[in-house]
Order: sequence, then C-alpha cells, then structure tokens
Amino acid sequence: MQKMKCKSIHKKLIFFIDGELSSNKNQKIEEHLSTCQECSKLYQELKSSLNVIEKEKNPKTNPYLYTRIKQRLDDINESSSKPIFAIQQIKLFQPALVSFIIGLGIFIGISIGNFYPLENNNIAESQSEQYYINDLQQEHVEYFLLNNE
Amino acid sequence: MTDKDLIKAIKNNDQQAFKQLVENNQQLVVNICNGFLHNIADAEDIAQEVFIEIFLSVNKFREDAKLSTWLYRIAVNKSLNHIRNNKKHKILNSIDNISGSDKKTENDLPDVNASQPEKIIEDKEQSEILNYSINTLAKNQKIAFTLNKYDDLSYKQISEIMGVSLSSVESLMHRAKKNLQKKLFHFYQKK
Repeated sequence: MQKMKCKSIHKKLIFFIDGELSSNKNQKIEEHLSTCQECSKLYQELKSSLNVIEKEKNPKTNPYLYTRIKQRLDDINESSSKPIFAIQQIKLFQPALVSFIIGLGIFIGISIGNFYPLENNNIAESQSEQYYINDLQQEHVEYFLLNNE
Repeated sequence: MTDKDLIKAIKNNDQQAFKQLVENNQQLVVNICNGFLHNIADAEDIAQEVFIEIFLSVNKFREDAKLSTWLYRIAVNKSLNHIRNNKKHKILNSIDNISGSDKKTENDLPDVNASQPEKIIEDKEQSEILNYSINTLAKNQKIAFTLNKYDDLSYKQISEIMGVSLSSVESLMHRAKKNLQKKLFHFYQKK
C-alpha cells in the first residue's frame, strides 16, 4: 500500500515543485514527504536538478557582440561585391576548362598529323622494304640436309 | 525609439538603428540560444547569426508584427538547426560525460583550487544530466519547456512564437514535465 502511494507521489513531484497542484494535493504530498525518506530524497534530487535552470539563466553577454556582427556583415558585403571572375567562381569552371584544354590538345595533335601525310607514307614504305621474309617454310629441312651431303 | 521606428530606420539602411536594436535585444537572444545550446560561446555565435538574418531580411518584416516574436522564432530555429547539425557530436559527448568515460580537456576540468571541488563536479554532472534529458524530449515539448523555464515566457507568448493554440502549449508543457521527470528518475536510479 505504501509502495503504491510512493509511486503516485513520484508522478506528481515535478508539478508539486512547480506549484501546479491544488492545496489539498500539496498538503498530502508534504505530509508524505515528511514521513517517507525515499520519496523525500527523490524530491530533493529533482528540486536540485531543476535549480540548475535558474543558475544557467541570463548569462552575461559579450559587450563586443555588435562589433562582431558588423564585421561579419562587412565580410558578407565584401564577398557579394567581388567581380564575377573571382577566384572562387573560377574554381566552378575548372572542370570545363580542363576538358577544353584536353580537347584542344587532341585537335592540335590531329591537325599536325594531317600536315605530313607523305612523310607517314614514306615511313610505311621504308618499313615494307626492310620486312623480313621467312622462307624457311618454303625450303624443307630434309632437302637442305641432302644438299649439304 | 520604438521597435517599429527601429525597423523602419533599418529598412532605410540606418546602421545606428541596427546597433540599437542589437543592444536592446542581445541579452534576450543570447538567453534563448543558451537555453537550447547550454553553451555560452555557441549561444553568442548563433545570436550573431540571428541579428545578421534580421538585418538581411528586414524588408520582409511586416510592420504590424511583433519584433520580439520574430526574434524568438529566428533564435529558436537557428538554435535547433545548430543542435541538429551537431547532433551526433553532442549526443556522444553528453553520453561520455555522464558515464565519465571521456578524456576531459583542460577547459572542462573543474578548478582544483576551488574550496569545494566535489561540489563543482557534482554541479557539472547535474547540469549535464538535466541538459541531456531536456535535449532528448520531443522537439515541440523541448521548445515549449525551454521558452517557459529559461526565458520565463508565458504560455500565451509561447503559443504565438510556436504558432499553436494555448491549450496545445499547456498539453506540451504537461507532457514535457512528465517525460523530463521520468528521464531524471532514470538517471538517479543509475547512480
């Protein structure tokens, strides 16, 4: 029975601390707390935890808050008034720029190649002149041995 | 100068009026942000962002609206966004701190020369447990609870800021307190 009463008191403790209960309920809880050590301990702990809020309230503010805000606003204005080809914006076009340079390189390479078609043919011809003909297959090894005898 | 005059002047790019608006409201904004973030340095950073947003979007502000409600809304949204962006980091830190398994930095260590070092450690632990418990409440419960407890706002003011009815705020507050109590009891049992 006492346990049941304690449980019901526990549920109301925070409202008791905040003064939200009727005077009748308040009185009952006060009476219980004066006799029950366990509930009284819990009440003290809860009250102490909630007191932390009072300690944290209204912290001292920095006297230079406006100066800092002004500085940040000036930075924002400065960055928004930079020319369109500012370094940061150029970075956005870097991939396109790299692709363009590679494409240009390939185009120039092909163009240079097309300028010297004859030289390319000569190289092909000179290579064919020096081509090694393997005639071993046409001449049987046995025949070669017979001739040597 | 009233709030309306200040807003009008800021719309005309009056820097002095903006300075006055910041000075009039900086304590309020830092307090809201600190209520959610529980860290004064972070709260000041977010407060700066709040005022910057006010300055940059002042032309969208309706003259019949209340400046304080606008400030509260921006401060709450920016603080919650900050928490969301740092969620993983913060949760891990809080759990580590509560379990006592973290490697504390020099700044986190309590002052050993203080007359009651145990008391300082106990206070710090208590603060971390409470902050963790509030941060793990459902979003709307956390907003209502923080605005009521840290900023002493009435349920009516909270309903205007959150854009919900008065009865919804009452219900949110009731559930927030119930859940917070449950979470705190859970920590006390672990001790």
